[in-house]
Amino acid sequence: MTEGRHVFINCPFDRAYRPLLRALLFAIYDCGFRARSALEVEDSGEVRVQKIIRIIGESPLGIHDISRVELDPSSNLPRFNMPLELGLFMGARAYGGADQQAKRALILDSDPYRYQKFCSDIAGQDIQAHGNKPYVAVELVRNWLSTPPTVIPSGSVIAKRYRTFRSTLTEGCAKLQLNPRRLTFSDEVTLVVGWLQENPWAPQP
Amino acid sequence: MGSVRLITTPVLATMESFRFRKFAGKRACYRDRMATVRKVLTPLREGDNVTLAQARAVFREIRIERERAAEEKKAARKKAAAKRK
Repeated sequence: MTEGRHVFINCPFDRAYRPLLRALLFAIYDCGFRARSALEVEDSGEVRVQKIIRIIGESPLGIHDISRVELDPSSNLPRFNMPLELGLFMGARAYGGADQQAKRALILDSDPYRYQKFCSDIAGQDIQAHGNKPYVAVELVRNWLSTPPTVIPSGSVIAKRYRTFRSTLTEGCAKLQLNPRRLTFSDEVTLVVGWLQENPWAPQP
Repeated sequence: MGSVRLITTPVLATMESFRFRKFAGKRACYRDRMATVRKVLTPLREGDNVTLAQARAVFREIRIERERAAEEKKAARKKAAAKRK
């Protein structure tokens, strides 16, 4: 059974990707949705792929970033986790019940048409390029989540709010005794939600 | 008590109210509230889980500090302009 405003995030969690992940999380929560990820609960007792399948089943929306499929310098092999999870999401939509068939996906890549070289089967889908720029990712997520009759502030407004959040993050982390370079997924979510609750957007008089 | 980092405005207000109020017949209430204050005052260590309330309190503090700084800057600019006239 899917939950109305849950967004499954399928993206890498390495340090290099952290700025984009933070931007995606901020945009999702600022638009009034909730981010779901395999990292949301640390439970060694649950098999990882089962956890991913459960979260995909519960999420009617999914953001899949397939921009990090480069060869790993140590093993010389590409990372296939993101395309695999995208496949699971598309499979749920193809073979699931009515609520699963209503799933919507946003597929992101760093450059337009690059995916055709390594994942040509998804050619024909509407894939967006963020160019590895967090503010572009914020706008793409906002535009995708904004469906009538809901009115969400423009991407540029959310990007401006994200910039303000970023400027307070280092100070906030210092006060909370958190290392900003070693935040877990739940730390990131707590900080984003905490900031948004203190700085809600309101229509200008 | 270790370093005090998480004194938030509402907590300070609570502490102030303890100082000036009479607590006749309200000992349990006083104890409960002091326990809350102590909990908030306990310093966090790196790796501790941060609750949403703590994150909110810190961002509220930062927002208030920034607003105050902006107001002071504005007032100083106004003063300087008046002086020039």
